[in-house]
Amino acid sequence: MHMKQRIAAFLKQVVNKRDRNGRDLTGALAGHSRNGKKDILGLDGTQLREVREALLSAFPTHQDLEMMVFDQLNEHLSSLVRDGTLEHTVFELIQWAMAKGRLEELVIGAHKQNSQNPQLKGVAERLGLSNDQHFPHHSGTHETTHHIATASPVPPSGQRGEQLATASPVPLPEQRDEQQQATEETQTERAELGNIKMQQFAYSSIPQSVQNDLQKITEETEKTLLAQHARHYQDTLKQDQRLTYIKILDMDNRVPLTHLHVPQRLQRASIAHTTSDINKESDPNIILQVVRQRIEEAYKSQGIAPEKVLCEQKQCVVLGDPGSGKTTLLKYLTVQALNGQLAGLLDVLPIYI
Amino acid sequence: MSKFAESKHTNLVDFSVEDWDNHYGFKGQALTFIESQLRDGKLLFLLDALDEAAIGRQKDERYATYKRVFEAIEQLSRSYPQLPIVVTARIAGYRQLAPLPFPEYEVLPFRPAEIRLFIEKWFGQPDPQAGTPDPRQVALGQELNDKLHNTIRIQTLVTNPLLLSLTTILYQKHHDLPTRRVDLYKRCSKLLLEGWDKTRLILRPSILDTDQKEQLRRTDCLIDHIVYQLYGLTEDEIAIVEGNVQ
Repeated sequence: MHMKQRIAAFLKQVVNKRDRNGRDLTGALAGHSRNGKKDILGLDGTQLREVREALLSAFPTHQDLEMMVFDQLNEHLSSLVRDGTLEHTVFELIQWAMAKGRLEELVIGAHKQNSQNPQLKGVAERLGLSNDQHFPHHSGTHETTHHIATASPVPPSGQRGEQLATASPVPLPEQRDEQQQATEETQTERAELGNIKMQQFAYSSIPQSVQNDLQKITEETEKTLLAQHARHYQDTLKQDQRLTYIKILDMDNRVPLTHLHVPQRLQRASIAHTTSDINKESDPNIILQVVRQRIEEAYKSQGIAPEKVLCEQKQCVVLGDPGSGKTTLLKYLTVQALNGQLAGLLDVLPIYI
Repeated sequence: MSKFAESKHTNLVDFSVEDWDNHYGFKGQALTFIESQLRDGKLLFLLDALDEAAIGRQKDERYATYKRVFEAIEQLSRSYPQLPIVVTARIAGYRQLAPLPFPEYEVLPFRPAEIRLFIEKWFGQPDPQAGTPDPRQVALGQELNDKLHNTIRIQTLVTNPLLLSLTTILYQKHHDLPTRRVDLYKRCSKLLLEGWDKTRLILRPSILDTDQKEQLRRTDCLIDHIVYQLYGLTEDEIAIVEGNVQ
C-alpha cells in the first residue's frame, strides 16, 4: 500500500508537470515511467551493498543498530528481523525497509544517528540523502511532516527531483518563492497521502493513461520485489546445510549432497507386493517366498528415475524401508529445483516440509 | 512432516506462508507470492516422512494429528491438481495409515553398480586443502569395492543406502570389512546407537519428550534396519510371522 501511495504522489507531480520542488518537468516527462521505477526501487545491487557495508561500519554492534532503529525509525529491531549475525541482521533490516518503502528513511536516520561515520556519510551523499536534505518521515504524523516542511528555511533538493529533472536547468533565484510554496504544498500533499482517502485521490484525479501506467508500475514493482524475495528464499535454502549436505552420524565433515549423489530408482508399488498378500492364515514359508520374490524383482527391475515419475505423475507417494534413501531423495529434488536443474520443472520453487 | 503436524495448521499453504514470512524475509508478502506461484504452477511440495506425522501420546491424539495432516495434503492436491507434490513414508508405517489418493512408488535398493559408484564418490571427495581427491583414499575405496565384490553376503546387505554408508564409514575408520553379517551389524549398531539419533532425530526434539521416548525410537530404528535386512521382512510381516509361530 505504501508504495502505491508513493507512486501516486509521484504521478501527481507528473500530472501537474512539476516536481516536488516545483520545477518544470515537461522535458523529463517522456521517460517518466523509467524514472518512476528507478525512484521507487531506487538502488541497484552495488548501491545496496554499499548501504549494507556502511551500516555495518557505523553500527558495529547489535545494540548500536537497535538503538538507531528505535531512535530514528521508531521500531524495535528484534521485531523486524530474525536473530543472526550482525551482517545478516543488517541485510534483513534493509530488506524490511525496502519492503516497507522506508529505505530512504533508514539511510537518513542512520546518518543522523552517526553523522561522523565517513562510509555512511559517503553513501548518504551519493544517494542524495545527507542530513541537510530532509525527507518526510513516513511514520510521522501530519503535524510533524508539515512542521518540518514549514520550519525549513531552505527548500529541500531531494534526490527525487534531481533524478526527474535531469533534463531541466537549475532553478533560477526568482523561482524560489514559488518553489518553496510548491514544496510546502507537496509536503502537505504527501502528508495527506498517508490518509486512507489517498487511493480515491490517486484514481480520480489522474488521467486514464497515467492510471494505466500507475497500474503497470505498481505491478512491475511488486513483481520485482517478490522476485527479490524469491531469490533470497532460494539463497537461504541453498545455504541451509541441513538440506544441501549429507551428514551421517557424528562425522566431523559434511558432504555436499550433490557430490555423493547416486541416482536412485523408483518402481510402481504393486499391490501384490504389499502385506495384504500375507494374511494371517499364510504359512511362514509362503511369506518368505513372497519376500524373496519381491527382492528378486526389485533387483531385476530397471526402475524409473524419480524426476521422470515427478514429471509424469505430478503427485505421488514414495515408499521405502528405513534407510532406503527417501529423505535423501527429497533433499536432492529440493537442491535440483533450487538450482533450476529439475528436468521438466525448471523454475519451480521447492517447499520442503 | 512432523514440523507441520506439530504446528496445529490445517492448511499447507498457510503453513508455508507463515514460514516464508517469518524465516525467509517475505515479511507479510508471502501469501501474494505463494498464491501467484501456485497459479503459475511454479511450486513443488516435498513432504517428508508422512508416517512421522502421527504424533501424540495417546492413540486418539496420534490419529487426530495424522487425520489433520492427511486432510491437508488431500486438500492441497484437490485445490491444485497440477501442483507437483511428492510425499515420502516408510512402507510399514504407511500401510497402517489411510493411503493418499496418489500413485505409489517404492525406492529400489542399490544394485552393485550403484554401490560401486557410491563408494567411489565417497572416497573420491576432494581434499579440503589440496582440492583434489586424496590418492590413498581413492585406493581405499577401490579396496572396499573389491572386498565387497568377493563377499556376496555383505554385498546384499549394503543394497540399503544407510547400511552402505555405515559400512563405508566403518571401512574408512578401521580399514577392514567383517566377513560375517553379524559382525557388521554389531559394528553398525554401535555406530547407530552412538550417532544416528544425535544427528537425525535431534532436529525434531519435540517428538522426543522424554529420555524414554528417545530410547524407544533408537531401538525402533535399529530393529527396523536389522530385522528387515536380516530376514527381508517388514515390521508388520514380522508381527504376522511371530503370530503364526506362537
